[in-house]
Amino acid sequence: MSNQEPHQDPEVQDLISRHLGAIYSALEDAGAPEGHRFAVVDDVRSQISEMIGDKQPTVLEIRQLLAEMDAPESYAAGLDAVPDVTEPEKGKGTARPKATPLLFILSVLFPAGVLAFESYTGYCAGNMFDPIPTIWHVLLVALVPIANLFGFKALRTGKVGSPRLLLFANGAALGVTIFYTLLFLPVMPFAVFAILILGMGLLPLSPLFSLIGTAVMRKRLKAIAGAAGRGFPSHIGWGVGTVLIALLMMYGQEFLTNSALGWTAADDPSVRARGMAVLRSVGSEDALLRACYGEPRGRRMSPGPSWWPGVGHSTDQTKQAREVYYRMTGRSFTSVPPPANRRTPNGEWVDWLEVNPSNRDGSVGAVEHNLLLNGSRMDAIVDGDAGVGYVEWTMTFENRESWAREGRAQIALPPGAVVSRLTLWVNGEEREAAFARRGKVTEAYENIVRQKRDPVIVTTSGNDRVLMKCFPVPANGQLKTRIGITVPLNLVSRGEVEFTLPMFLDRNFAMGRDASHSVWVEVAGDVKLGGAVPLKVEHGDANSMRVTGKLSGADLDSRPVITVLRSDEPTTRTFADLVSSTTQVIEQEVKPGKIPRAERIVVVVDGSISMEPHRAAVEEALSALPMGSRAAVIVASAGETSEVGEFSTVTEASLEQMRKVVGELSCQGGQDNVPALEKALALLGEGKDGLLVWIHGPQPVIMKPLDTLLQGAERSNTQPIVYELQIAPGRDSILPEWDLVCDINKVPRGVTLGDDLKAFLAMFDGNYTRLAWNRQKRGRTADDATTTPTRSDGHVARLWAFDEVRRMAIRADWEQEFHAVELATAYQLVTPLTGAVVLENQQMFDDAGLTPVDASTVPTIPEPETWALIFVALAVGLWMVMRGRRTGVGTT
Amino acid sequence: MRTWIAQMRKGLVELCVLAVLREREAYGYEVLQRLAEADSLAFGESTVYPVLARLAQDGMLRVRVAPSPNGPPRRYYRLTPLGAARLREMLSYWNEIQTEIAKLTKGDSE
Repeated sequence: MSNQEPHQDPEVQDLISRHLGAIYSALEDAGAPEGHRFAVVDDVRSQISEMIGDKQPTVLEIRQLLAEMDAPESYAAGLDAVPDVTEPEKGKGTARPKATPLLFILSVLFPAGVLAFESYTGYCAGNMFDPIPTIWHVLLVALVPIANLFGFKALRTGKVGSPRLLLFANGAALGVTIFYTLLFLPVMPFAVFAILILGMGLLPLSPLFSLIGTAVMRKRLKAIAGAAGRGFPSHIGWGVGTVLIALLMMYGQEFLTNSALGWTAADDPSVRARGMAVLRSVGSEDALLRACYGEPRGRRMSPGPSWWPGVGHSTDQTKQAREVYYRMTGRSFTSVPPPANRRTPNGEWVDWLEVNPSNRDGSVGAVEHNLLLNGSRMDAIVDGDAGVGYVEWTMTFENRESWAREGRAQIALPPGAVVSRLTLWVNGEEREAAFARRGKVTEAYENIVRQKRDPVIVTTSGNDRVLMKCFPVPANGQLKTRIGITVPLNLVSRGEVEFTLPMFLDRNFAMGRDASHSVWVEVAGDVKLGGAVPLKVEHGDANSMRVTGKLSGADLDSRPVITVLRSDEPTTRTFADLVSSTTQVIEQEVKPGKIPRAERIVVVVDGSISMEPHRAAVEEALSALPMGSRAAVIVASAGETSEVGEFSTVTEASLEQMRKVVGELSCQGGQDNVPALEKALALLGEGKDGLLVWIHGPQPVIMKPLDTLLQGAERSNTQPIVYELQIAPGRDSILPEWDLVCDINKVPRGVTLGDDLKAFLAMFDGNYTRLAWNRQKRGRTADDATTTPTRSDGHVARLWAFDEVRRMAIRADWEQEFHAVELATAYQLVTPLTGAVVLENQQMFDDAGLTPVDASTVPTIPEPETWALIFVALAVGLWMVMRGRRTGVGTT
Repeated sequence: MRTWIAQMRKGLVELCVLAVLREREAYGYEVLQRLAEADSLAFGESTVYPVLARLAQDGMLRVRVAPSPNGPPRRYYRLTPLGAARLREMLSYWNEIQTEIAKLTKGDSE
């Protein structure tokens, strides 16, 4: 019906509408086809408008006008001139289209049966892909047998009811079967082959059979629906169109995401840029996340390039997806839960790229939600006067899968800390690690993994970071391991030091439902707690204090700081050497050192989305750049085209410009920082008066090879001083490589990032004096002989050895490296050159040419029960002495 | 109107509608008005419009919808080649009938 109604009076409109409606009903009652009814009503409406012309008729006038026209019921009589359209023409027979059993089987029984079979067994989902991953897919497929059932009923009874609805439903069913036929098309030839040879393989052909059944149904329904089945677009067309729109809504974004993912790997930079632009604007994070996993099994159906033959997700494409996921979101794909769908809950996702050893790149990999950290305790001792702490982190993993899994974690150590103990529980017994050259322990670990036995390994993964791997966490079983970390306390002043706990940067296991980190710190000295962490301080034994509590993952990530008060005298103390205690000692001094003025400073700021919450703090902190020095700010943004700053002398005006660069920074996705770092180093050139400060978020993927960056560091005679500040937790793939050839320091952290950074930059104005531990090894003297060894001696000696190894390891020649490895092994340290590995039994150690450390030489923390035993023994001893004195028994 | 007149008119309505559209296209009300010019061919809209709809459905007429200065769009009808052929056929048959009836009623009219 027409929409244009010039008459304003609603009552007039109503009269006309009722007249037209009456005509429509009369024609309908008389059996006129719908097309005729609309055509006639339109003509009558047009006539009424012509008769009214420009006038604004009154109600009376319109009543009169309508009265002069033919009465609505007379239209039924007028139909006598119109032959019955459902009457078959001469020569075409009079039989109604047949509702045959074959049609019922093809169009109703078969699709319904296949839907029920797949829903119940998940056969296709398990072997190829999931054709009904969501409830919407189930409803869409269910539409086919339901629509065809009603169509079949109409054919059988001859009662069409509402032909429009019937044809629309048939069209929708047709759309669904066409879609699924196209989806299964690539495997249909194989299905035919399988039927011919094996007599099975009907499932992939079901969409085609249903399509044939629905198409036949369509033809027969049209024959009995009369004019309702004609015209364009027909009701069938509307049905197909509606399904297409539904599919577009369900898959459009995914299709676009998969296509754009392909563009990001193109040779043409403009195509790559377009791909990223599409992904950032309309890309589906969920679809990209699935591509990161390679959609290995129970995969969701993707009608895009990820499914069609020849363009599936290969290993390279999966790696590409992981890179793109970071660039799009600024996060590692492992930092979010795996994608879920109807048949594949989170726990069933497997990072096949990591499971396959040939694909391993040293990364932690995706979180596997059936691998849990069920127990975590940190027992620590802190000696404020000695300036050392030692923490043992005991972790219990539980594997709820039916196959063995490897637990992996990148752990951030407290600044300057070193792993000095590693154990694994084998058959209920705690076994110690062997410390040896990194390559040797890695090889031993891989060999044992292949045998599916029990090793655990810890190697460094950049400055103040270690990578821990343990295998196997047995199927439906547990694995317990312990890492001991020797921690140098951060000197705030001569009378105050800080102790921080290690934390996870990245892990492939989930935290158990009720899991938390149980903390117990025994401190020699008074304690202050910083930050709002759920830790409490209480009096311990003798002069010690005790800090205890349970920390969530987030609490640990907030870097709780335990401040310890110490006596500032003497400034120099000596400690027994761990290896040659009879002849040598370690002398440790709190030494003020003037930080040389930095004449050339380059600040590299990551333009990733993770920087956004800290942008203002970084901008503000830049105001602390030393006046008169030459400085530049480089923003790592837009991936391949980093914004390059030039040196300018630091003045109020130039500071304003530099702050503006950061202030106006548009943080997007994940940015490759390597080009910006390369440009920063090129800008700084040679010289110790250069300072590079890299402020960055996680860098989970390496997008550009590090060769130039590493080569620059390796070939440089006098490298600039490099500091890095990671502003959010997450894996960094650049530091572990860069750290091997360049001495990379951490910006000291307190509670507030902005204040920390500001204080740090201000240190380089040439007037700043910083307190630092200075440790030296020297021969034992007569005075030293009276020194009473404490449990801190060994840790101070380890820290001395660690400093030595790091100093020697930077661009070491083979001889230096040899000595460094010897030193690290002797002091049982995990360094850039050495690692620690625990194997299941002595035979395995022997086969690998490794020697586990003697349990009596490892640092330990007495268990609370051990303390209790000692206390009881002392009490008993004391009681016996007292009793002996009273009774006169004893030496006389 | 007497039944036999109604029956005769009903039999002729399709021929008349096609004949009106022989020269040029016209919208429904226009067809109605042109038929009304001859008293004996004055069909009501309840007769003409269903016929127009059926002829269009059968491919005799082509429909074009165009805006109207007075209100809702008009449906313009024009003869298709099929419609023109049908009109020729009907006219030929009409002439035959006329001739035969003339022969039959020759004596009466003189």
